[in-house]
Amino acid sequence: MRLIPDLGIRGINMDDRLLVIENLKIEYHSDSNVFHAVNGISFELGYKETIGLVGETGAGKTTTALAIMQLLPERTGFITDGRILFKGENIIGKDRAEMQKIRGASISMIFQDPLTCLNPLMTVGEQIKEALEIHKESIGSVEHIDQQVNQLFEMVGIPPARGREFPNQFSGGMKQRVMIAIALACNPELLIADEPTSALDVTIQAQVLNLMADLKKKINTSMIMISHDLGVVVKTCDRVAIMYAGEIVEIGAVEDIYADVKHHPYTEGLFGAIPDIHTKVSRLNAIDGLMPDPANLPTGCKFSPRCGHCMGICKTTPPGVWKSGSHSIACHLLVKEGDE
Amino acid sequence: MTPLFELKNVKKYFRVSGGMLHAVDDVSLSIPKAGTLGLVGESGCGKSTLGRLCIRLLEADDGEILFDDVDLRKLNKKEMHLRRTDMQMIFQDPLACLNARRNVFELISEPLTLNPYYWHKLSKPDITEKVVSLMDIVGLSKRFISSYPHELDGGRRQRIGIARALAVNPKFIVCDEPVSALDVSIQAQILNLLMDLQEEMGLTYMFITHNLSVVKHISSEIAVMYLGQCVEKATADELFQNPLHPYTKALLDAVPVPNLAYRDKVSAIRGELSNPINPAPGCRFALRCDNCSDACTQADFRLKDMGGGHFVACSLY
Repeated sequence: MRLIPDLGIRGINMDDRLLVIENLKIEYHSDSNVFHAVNGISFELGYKETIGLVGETGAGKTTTALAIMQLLPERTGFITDGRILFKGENIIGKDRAEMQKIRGASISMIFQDPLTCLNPLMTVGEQIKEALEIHKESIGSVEHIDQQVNQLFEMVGIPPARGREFPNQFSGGMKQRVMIAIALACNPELLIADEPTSALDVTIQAQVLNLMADLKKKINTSMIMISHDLGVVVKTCDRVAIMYAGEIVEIGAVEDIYADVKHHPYTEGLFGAIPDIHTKVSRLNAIDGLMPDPANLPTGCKFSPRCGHCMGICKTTPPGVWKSGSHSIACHLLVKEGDE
Repeated sequence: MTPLFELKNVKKYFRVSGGMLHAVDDVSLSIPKAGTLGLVGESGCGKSTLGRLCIRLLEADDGEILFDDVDLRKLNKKEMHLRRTDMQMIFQDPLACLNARRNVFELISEPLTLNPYYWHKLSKPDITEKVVSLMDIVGLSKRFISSYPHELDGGRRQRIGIARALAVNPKFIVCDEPVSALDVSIQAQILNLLMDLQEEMGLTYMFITHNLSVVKHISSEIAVMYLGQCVEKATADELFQNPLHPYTKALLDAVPVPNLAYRDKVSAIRGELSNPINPAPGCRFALRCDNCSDACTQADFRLKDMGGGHFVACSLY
């Protein structure tokens, strides 16, 4: 009995779902090894909904995002199983030309480090214009591109006159605003934000998060927010998926993750490891050990070697799923309690 | 308590095209023995420059840097070299600051072979023994002794950085964003390690970070920097319970708290750091401040004692 693939599926009406990921498995191949980056994850995203993917380095968050964009490295990254349904259509296996029409127009992405994502030889105005020009057929407006560029600048809070400047003349926060303008240029239905504020200072991060929240309301886009910062996620997301070693170990509405008493031991570990700004603890509850090697994952529960509640069964059998309303957890401890 | 380490009116300007960049402008701080001073601020506020000035990796332009009542700036190169056994630094990115061609043994023993204080004092077996004990102290398994940095993960690399700093038995360590490059679960391990080491060895830390939750957790005292100046300093609890400077308030407000209760709190701070090159007189935060009055842009503000070890530089007080 292996229930993990069902973990993130709520069974809402098919018409309300913009994106459905079913049992997605992704491997990276090197000369000598196979790295299991994503091991059968499933979740769905409704229209206008924001889901947060939370986890540490190597949890498979960015790999999942790249798979949705079909941007996995061609020679080393392989989707070995599962489906990615965008508006009911499987986008795995679409050819390059088809994907190019989707990418940037229907699904777009904001990357972590705005400096490495902007072309240093083009003015920022040209770069926003480029996004509009590539997709001008599908969005159907050719005439007023310059005007649209100016509107985008105003929307993200940059004076349009600065469009003639180059990325190196912009601060980190301003560059990220440019990235947001490019990503939103064609009114995408799905926006993937991969650690959009991790490279920014806190006050600038607060500004960019406010901006993203405002824009999301204005243009009604759905969003996948990838972050390791539980504070950023609570501010931006409707639902949250906690990822560990390529699996979703817990998923639920924000209230389930932040206010419910039942949690996956890894989620508890994550919360315990952050020093809280409002309470004083003398010692942090660090999670012992390290992320497992993706080339050599433990059998059974992937978190078992680091888990304080590890039982015999955890080492041999992958856990089933405990469900309560919108809240699902894949852990033997809870399944054992006999709720389902 | 007499301070182990003291900065008095330290200044560092960099000459850049367009004028003088005021990286550190008239900063005075002191750290008691076995205490931790947290230095917080956003990028460009001069906190790393200040950390480097403390152990003379950069030379200050003006001011006094007192360690055990000795002005480090008056020491010549050789004297300073010997003094460095008392003060070390842990850097942010362990991959960038470890030589990729050296293995763990070579990396950790390097400070012992480089510092003239240890010349002719340690035999080869002594050094090996010392390295092994250091690895044990920082929680690195002995099997990694001949591994290279690229073979290890970020947490283990940072443990090498810490072992290197501890190799010469320092009293004072400048930690420059030691956990910023690490995942939260690993970050907690390293923070616990640093606090344990402090307790066991009586180390004194200057802890530089942009992460306010981390700085609150580890520091006894905190100084907030903005554009090269220290705008507020107080004990950790006092600063977080009763922040006085508008910048400190804005900074605390902007921290995303992983708690539903703070979900809808909107941070109101606007604008970005202004230009540190030839800054105008007056409060450097004035342009972003909601309480800004004419007085703010006319004269510089010095730290004012508000009682209980709480100092703030602002026209409101």
